[in-house]
Amino acid sequence: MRLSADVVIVGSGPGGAVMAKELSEIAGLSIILVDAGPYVLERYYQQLELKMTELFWERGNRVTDDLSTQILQARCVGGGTVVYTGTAHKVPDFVLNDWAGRWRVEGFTRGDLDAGYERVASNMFITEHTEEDWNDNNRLFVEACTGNNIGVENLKRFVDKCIGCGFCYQGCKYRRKVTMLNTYLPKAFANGVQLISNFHVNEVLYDPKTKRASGVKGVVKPTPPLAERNSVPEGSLEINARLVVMAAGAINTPSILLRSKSLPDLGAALGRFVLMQNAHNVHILMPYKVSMIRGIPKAASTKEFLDSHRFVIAPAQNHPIATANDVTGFGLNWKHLMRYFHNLLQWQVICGDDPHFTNYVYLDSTGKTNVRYLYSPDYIERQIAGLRTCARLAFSIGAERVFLGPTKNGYVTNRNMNALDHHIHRKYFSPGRFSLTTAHPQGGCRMGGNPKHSIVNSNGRAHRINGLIVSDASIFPSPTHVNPVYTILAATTLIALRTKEDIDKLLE
Amino acid sequence: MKIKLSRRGLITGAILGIAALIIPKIWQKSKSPASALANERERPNFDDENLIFFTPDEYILIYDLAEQIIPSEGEDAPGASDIMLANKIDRFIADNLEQDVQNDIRNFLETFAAGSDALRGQGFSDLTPEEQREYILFWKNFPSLSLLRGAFLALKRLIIAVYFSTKESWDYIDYGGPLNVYVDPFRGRVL
Repeated sequence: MRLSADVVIVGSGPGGAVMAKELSEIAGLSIILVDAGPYVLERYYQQLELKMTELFWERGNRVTDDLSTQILQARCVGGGTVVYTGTAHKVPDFVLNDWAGRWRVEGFTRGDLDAGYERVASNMFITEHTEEDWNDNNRLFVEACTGNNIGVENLKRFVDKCIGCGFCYQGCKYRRKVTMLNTYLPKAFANGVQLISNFHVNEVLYDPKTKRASGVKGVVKPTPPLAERNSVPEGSLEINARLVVMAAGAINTPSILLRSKSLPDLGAALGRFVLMQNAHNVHILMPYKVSMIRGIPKAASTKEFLDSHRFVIAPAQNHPIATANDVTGFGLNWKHLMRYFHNLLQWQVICGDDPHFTNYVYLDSTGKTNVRYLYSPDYIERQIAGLRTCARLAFSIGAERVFLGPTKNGYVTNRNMNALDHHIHRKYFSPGRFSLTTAHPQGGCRMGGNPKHSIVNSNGRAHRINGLIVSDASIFPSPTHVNPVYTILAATTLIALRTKEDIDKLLE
Repeated sequence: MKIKLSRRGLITGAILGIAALIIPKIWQKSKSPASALANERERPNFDDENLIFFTPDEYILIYDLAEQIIPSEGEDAPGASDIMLANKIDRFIADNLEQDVQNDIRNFLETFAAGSDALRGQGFSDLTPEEQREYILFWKNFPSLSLLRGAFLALKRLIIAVYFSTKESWDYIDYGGPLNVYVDPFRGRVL
């Protein structure tokens, strides 16, 4: 089957949905929005951990090629906004300074991005949580921080009248989370954007005569049960377009571009400089029951160490599968610990790695997407510092044990309290020895001023060919160090507005 | 015929070769005296035809591995064997996972089993429970190759995911599952 449009957008997460809505405001512009995942409406979400892994790539089993790091990426219409806690963090100044200084990114100053954030906020809805919203997990976290003279801030989230059911990662069936599904996408559809779901794009097409990207080609897979009916039948599909916008996210966007054999060389940086920003969950055993899995997942956090050590500590909220997965070990002792599930607090240390050419996305001989990743020594030190801080905070409020990865046995007890630097140590940080998870992968198609070191410019446009724009987290040259969703929305808003300004020229 | 070998498959193969050479030496140093007794544990009778994804050998391996990870302690604390977890895993993989993920799982199991053969000349399922535990610990903490440790993590993740999606496991940890309240979905703001 063959379709044609002025613009084809690959990916309907924060990057793609913003592009679709903003560009659809141009009169007469035909847009097709495609996504590899199903279009599942909120009312069909089930609050079941295993079942809802259907909304993730490889059902949550995507891992780096040494199998050490689980990469959680949404594969559904609405993308990552559907399956996260809804936190709305702005990128810190030092990140923007790094982008501008080291990577020669222009047009992403604090002022530029603030305009993007403002426009996003006007299209969505942000709630600032207060003390009234804290469950035990949040309350004890704040107590620990204030008791240790560490500043905390109330978090802002993309929610409206959140009931605190505790199933953010499984998608909000009550429509209280403000996602692409209930904001940008309905507006785009109202403006005439056509959605094609379950469409696996194999390659971006290139027209050698005009020397520009000319569309995408792939396969429409069967629609799973409970998903909305697709607008096209199953089978091969080619979409010809004058402008191709890649918004499939970090890992997937570079993977599709690497697979596109007809495209000319986009640069040596393609697929390179992938960035892991791990959320290292810490499980804290208290001597009494606490409320953790119900209530607001994240109502407060501390950014006190962000400028100095590049990590953030915040409460987390995981159900049994994710919890059991994080707690190192197996057998009777491990199983008995799970019986104390309701005595566990869960906090997390979020820490981003530095960009390295040697961390990259590649395709194996079967065409499968793989990620090769080695953590930098500096990252490991910062992560360890964050985990030690987290453990200190936990023991200061009476924790009995703290379960975290890089220790000899997978945990430290309150008897180790005075020797945490010895017990939580980089010598135990061996990939594969404990569970590492990232839900914030970035990079792989980085933007920058130098075509030798980057793929796109700060307008998201490919340096080396016309008609190709990248509009997702893969363009970030270094990690945001905080949850990236709000920044992806703001950055892609800027790219969309700049695209709108130049649309005639871009379609020529 | 062109044989397609994935990069991960290639790495696994290479590691397996290396591991087969070096593991026995390290294992002999680290292992306690092995039981010479044959493994006479009872396993459920299963009908090969009821297996959807696993081969009979793979089924027995995952059955034993799951029981090591989540041991049985009686009715109040069901282990993997009490709820026939291996069968549930078999169905879950067949019904839900894509072909390449299925292939990965098969590779991990093969690697895991081959390691045991290389160590002892015995399959994992022929080892006594104590020996199995030692073998898993050895594998989990394998000194230099993260891929071997990662393979264990991946199998553990699969076993845990299926176990903690059962009602029996929820009762064990007093987990309530979905929130059974009705909330009007249309009261949420739609902008």
